Amino acid sequence: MSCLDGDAAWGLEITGLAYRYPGASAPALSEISLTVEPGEHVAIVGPNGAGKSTLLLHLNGILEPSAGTLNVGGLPVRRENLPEIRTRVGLVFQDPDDQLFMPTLLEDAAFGPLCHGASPDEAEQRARRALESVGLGEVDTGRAAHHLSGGEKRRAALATVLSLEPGLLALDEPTDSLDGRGRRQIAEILRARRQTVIVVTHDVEFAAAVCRRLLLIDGGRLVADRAAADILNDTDLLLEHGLELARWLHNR
Amino acid sequence: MGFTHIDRYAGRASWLTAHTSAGQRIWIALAAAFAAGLMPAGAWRALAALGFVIALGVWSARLPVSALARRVGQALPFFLLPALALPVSVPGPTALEVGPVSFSGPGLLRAAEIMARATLAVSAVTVVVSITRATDLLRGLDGLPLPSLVKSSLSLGYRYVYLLNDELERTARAIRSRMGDTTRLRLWRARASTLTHLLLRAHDRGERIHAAMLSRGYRDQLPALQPAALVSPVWTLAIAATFAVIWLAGLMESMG
Repeated sequence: MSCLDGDAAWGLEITGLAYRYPGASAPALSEISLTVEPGEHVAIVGPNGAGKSTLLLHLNGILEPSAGTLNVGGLPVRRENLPEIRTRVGLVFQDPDDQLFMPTLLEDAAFGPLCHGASPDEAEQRARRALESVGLGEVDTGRAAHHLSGGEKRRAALATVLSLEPGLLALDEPTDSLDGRGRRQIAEILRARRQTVIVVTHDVEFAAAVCRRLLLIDGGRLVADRAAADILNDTDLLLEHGLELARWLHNR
Repeated sequence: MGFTHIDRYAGRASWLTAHTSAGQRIWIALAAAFAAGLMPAGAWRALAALGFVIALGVWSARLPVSALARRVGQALPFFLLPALALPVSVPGPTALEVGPVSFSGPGLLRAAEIMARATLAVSAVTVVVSITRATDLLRGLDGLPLPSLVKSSLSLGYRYVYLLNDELERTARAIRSRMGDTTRLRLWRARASTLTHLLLRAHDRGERIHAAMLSRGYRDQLPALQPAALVSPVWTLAIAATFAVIWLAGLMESMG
């Protein structure tokens, strides 16, 4: 039986989240509490090693918190709820080559729906729709991922979760090693989503272009939760937490 | 596509592609390889008959002899080592002397036989991979009685061997650019060390891929989008039966 139920927008509630990697001396995340409303677009920014990706891996239960709770659309992220949670949260990993593991593009996009019980026909329809929505409708879907360009791989990786029609879309560094056009394409795709979108990035300008609200994480702690324009203009805050804007290369 | 580094699909239409599915072609290649590998010693006429049937496959696929020879040439060193030991280890009248080493006639014949069998088996497999897309072959594995873990590993292996190859090429270029004029031996040593690092990184990647699979609902089995094509097994059975008959003829030939 399929447990895919359309494209609702799910909110997120995190309370007192902490996580320590096995054998690590310091926690990767400490006392993270935040709320994201359904349909809201939020970016999590911070320097390398701040804990952004670790936080993202908690959203669909890939990592289990050492302390604290997470709820997606009111459903606690717990082991027994994981099949349902993983249809609600579409997680796009930083390296698209990690995400595109099937022999062909179409099989990759259909993987999620098939795993959640969709029939092959329904899975194929969903996969084609998802590929179409990221501008890959014209690409030969029988192609293998290693024949795609960097930008196409990024969009294909996004399609692999859009085919699940998740209510919460979470992306880890979606513009990493993309050229200007590739960044713009990803920004346009994300802005058009009706779902809740959470983008993890150290590219503050991209984050502000896609989201109105930015969460700044450093050292595993949430240090700011403000409007994007506000954070973008707070030079001292950005510098204090190792974030620099591209335009400063000319001005400083 | 084409005769690239890894994927041997040559995009060739063949009588086999019209009458058999990808999965059935795997069975045909296996039957040919088993018939060649299990052929009793001294059954030269049966081996020749097997060679004729496989040559028909090569001709039907319009596979260039040079491409076939290259592929067979890449695989034969794996058989050459045991074959080379036979002329000096099998007792019998000396047929050839090179310095202090003498080669027995029966040993040379056995070595030639091993090389002939290996050539036929590799040729049969080469025909099948030349006329079948690797992705279709992977789908065809669904018809084989293999554990799902093995099928999943082969599927992921096919996807990521390209990535490893690309990384190896990139690092090899970086090594060459820093080493300047160097000997081939030093270059290969550097490459071998790079490969070790790449394999360690591949382990990390494996964990990330597993996380990506889990996050999309993976539960121990790669789902198939398209079921294997339904093709009547008549021709596959006929070809496999031909190989079986040739093998039986070889058995009778060897028993005199």
